[in-house]
Amino acid sequence: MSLLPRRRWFGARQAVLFSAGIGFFVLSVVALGILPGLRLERSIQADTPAVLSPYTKAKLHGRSLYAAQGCAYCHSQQVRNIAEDVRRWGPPTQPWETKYDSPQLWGTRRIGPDLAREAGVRSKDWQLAHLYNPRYIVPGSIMPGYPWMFDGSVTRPKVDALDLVAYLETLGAARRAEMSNVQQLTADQISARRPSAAAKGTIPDWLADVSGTICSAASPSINARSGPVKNTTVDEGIELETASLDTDPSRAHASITGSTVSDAPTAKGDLIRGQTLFKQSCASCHGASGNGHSPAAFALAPRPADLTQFEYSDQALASVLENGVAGSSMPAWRDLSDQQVADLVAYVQSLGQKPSFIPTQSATLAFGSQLYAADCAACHGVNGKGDGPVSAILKPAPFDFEHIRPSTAELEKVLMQGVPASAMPAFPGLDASDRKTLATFVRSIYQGPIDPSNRH
Amino acid sequence: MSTTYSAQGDAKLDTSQITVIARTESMLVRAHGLAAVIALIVSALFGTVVAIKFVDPEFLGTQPWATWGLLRYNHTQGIMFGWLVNAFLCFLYYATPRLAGRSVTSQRLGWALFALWNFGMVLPGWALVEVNLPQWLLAIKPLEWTEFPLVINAVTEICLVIIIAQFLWPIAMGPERDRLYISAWYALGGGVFTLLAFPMGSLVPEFVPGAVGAAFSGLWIHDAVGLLVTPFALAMSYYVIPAVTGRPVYSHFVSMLGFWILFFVYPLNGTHHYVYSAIPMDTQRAAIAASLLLGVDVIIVVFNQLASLRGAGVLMYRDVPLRFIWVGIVFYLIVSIQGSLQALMPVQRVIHFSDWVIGHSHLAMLGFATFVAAGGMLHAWQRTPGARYHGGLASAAFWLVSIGLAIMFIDLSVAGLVQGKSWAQPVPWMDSVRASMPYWWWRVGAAFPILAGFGCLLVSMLVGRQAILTDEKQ
Repeated sequence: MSLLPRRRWFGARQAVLFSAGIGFFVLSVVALGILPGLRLERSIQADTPAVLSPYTKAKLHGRSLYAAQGCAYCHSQQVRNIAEDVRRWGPPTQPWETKYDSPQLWGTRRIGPDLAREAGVRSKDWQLAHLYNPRYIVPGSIMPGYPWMFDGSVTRPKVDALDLVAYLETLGAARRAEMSNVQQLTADQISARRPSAAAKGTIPDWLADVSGTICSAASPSINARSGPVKNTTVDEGIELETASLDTDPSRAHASITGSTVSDAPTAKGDLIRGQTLFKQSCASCHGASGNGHSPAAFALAPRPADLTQFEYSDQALASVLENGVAGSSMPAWRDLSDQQVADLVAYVQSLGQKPSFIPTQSATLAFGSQLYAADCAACHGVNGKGDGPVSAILKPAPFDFEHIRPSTAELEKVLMQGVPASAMPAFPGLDASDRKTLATFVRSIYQGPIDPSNRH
Repeated sequence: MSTTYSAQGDAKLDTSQITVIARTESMLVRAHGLAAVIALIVSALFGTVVAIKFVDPEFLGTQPWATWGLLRYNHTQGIMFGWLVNAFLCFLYYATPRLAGRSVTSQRLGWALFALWNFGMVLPGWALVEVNLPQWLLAIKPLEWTEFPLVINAVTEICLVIIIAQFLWPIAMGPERDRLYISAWYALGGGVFTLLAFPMGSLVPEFVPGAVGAAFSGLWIHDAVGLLVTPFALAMSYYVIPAVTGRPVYSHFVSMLGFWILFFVYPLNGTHHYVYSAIPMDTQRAAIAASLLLGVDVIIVVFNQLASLRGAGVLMYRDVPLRFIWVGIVFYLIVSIQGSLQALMPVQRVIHFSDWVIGHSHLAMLGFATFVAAGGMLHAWQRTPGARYHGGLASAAFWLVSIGLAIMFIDLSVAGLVQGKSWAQPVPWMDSVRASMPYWWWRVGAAFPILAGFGCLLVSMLVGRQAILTDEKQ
């Protein structure tokens, strides 16, 4: 009854063994492994920028921990060529970015966020505290804690934890450096720096346009969300260079932490929703009441701000949420919608000092301004905008007192103690009345909760 | 001696001659059957702990061995190597003499294989994952479906060679070699393919970096399911269905058509795990096209098998192994059509990286593979001298696992859609985690009927009446 031909020299068994078992295996390896592999190799050779360097020994050790612990089973390391991914993490992963990744850790699952662009997004303190116990920093996180990488306390990381965080700091760093280089080129040069001819076909045509646009992110017209995290949180210097070329006076006010915000939030914030968002996203570091006291706070330097001691302009808060605070553990919250930003701003405003304009004697102000010019202007700028000549190299950036008004108590405390892990020193030379006078002057710089450039 | 498949009720069947020439190694059937079910329960416990850690990350503490990642490796590797392949081996010891008309190569080799597979591979594999050593030969590999260390992979490869010598050699060289039944085809094809694909998937991505390594890694992710699990599961279903109904399969031509398309198309699917990635677009598109063809092929295969069951409704319910088999085949149809559709780019865009895929993989490995493997194994078990079998408990196992799987699959599919939608919105990442939490609780709940079902399966093989000693009874 068999339908098979009864040929001894080449029967079904030979066909099965050699065609199905061996032939189709070879076919699949050639078609889906070797051929695309050769093409990828060509594009990697053509596109790899000079800034990409092999891993150091410590980073390789960190990487091996990442690999063995299965981090890649919850955190992908590839930004896909789709708008949803690009919006959250920036331009799609190109073949050369994982040139030294052996074995690759692209991952096929996301329970936590993608980490392909993790470099510069969060501070080392943040990463270490989060590694020790993720729920210190991210309430509701389901990531395992790795306390055995520490010596009993979050402040005493072992070499494992340090190497792992060092590895995280390399993810996407070369891509970012490459993009900053691109930003300084002219438009013609940008088009020349697009993926090479060898890489054509590795990304869809429509996407070449998207990545081209993203590459030219220096243009102020682009929506800030299309970048991974603004360059300002990563490298102050680069942004300042472009900012200094910016001659648009309406944008001068936008420099809060040396960064730019496209627009102040126009949506009206809702206090209740803002409170929920604050609990979910902010309270782990800033404390449930916003006073900067939390389990995570002692592991972070500089410490999370005591939000009850400051008045912020809406724009300053929106900018901090949009860009984070470089040099501190405050990350950017770019995945919040404009409405959510407005809600949070409204809630944080309700935590802070109530706006008060106590009239002060002009003599006090005059003396205060002298003290300010002598001790503060080098960093905070002659006008208090945080743009003094030294500010460009400081992280976190000096406060812009036009947009941020500390309470008198906070100012007096900082003048006495300085701000640990920032450039702000203590001023033991000032006596109590000097501190009070200076505080009064600094508070007088504040322009109010709504940005003056938006007032009509 | 001249029969291809004893179940066909071939008039020329000479039972006494077969028993003389082709001996069944009953002890090895029983050894692999028990090892399979024990490994199934251990692996399922690993999986349950992994599921609990989603809702309580500090469950079992934060010691290195209790880390989520390590337990997940042991869950998936245990299911594939500990449970499924042991069940396949159990079945092969029963079926090879009947398919080949010749005994397996050697009983001694069989015990060596049993020891090497379970005590040289699965157990040390689990242990090495848990101790997590840094030496490159002993270290965990972060490659999906082949996380066991390289030294364990070497043992696996040796075992694959032994499997070829033990089963494929008698099939290819035995008296039936020129008129092999389709089950034998699948065993031959799957055995040889896996011998080649396993080292390719375990070694190449380990040393080839980045995007190129990912291309090769994607190949193995699919080969593990498509060219190791699927051929042996189909060999079982093609064997058991006619054996129980006593009628030939619906069409031998369709069997062969299904076989050739499957072996041609399955290996070309791998890159669909990296859609929208940096791997060249043409390769992605080719893999997506192959994924669609695969769905067509599975419709052909499943049609052929279900059509062979026409008019056997009573048997389909009463014979528990057959019930496991045909329900597994229906899951195969569902999971493959789902797979074809989810390989499409617009669907990938939403569901990739999400729990939808976890639901899909459980429908494949727990729905299709586990149901068919349990059916094939119980079919052999029922007919093995000295083995006890309890139909009622096996039936209870069927229902419990079915209920658990249904809850889990629906739950994870919905969770995947919720996650995909959340990721596409401008909301903090943690919103997707918070939104997933109820679904993750439901998955933990689904683990209990599944574990209970596996327990019933084990007990059903230990109590009840013994099989009749003439092993050619039907």
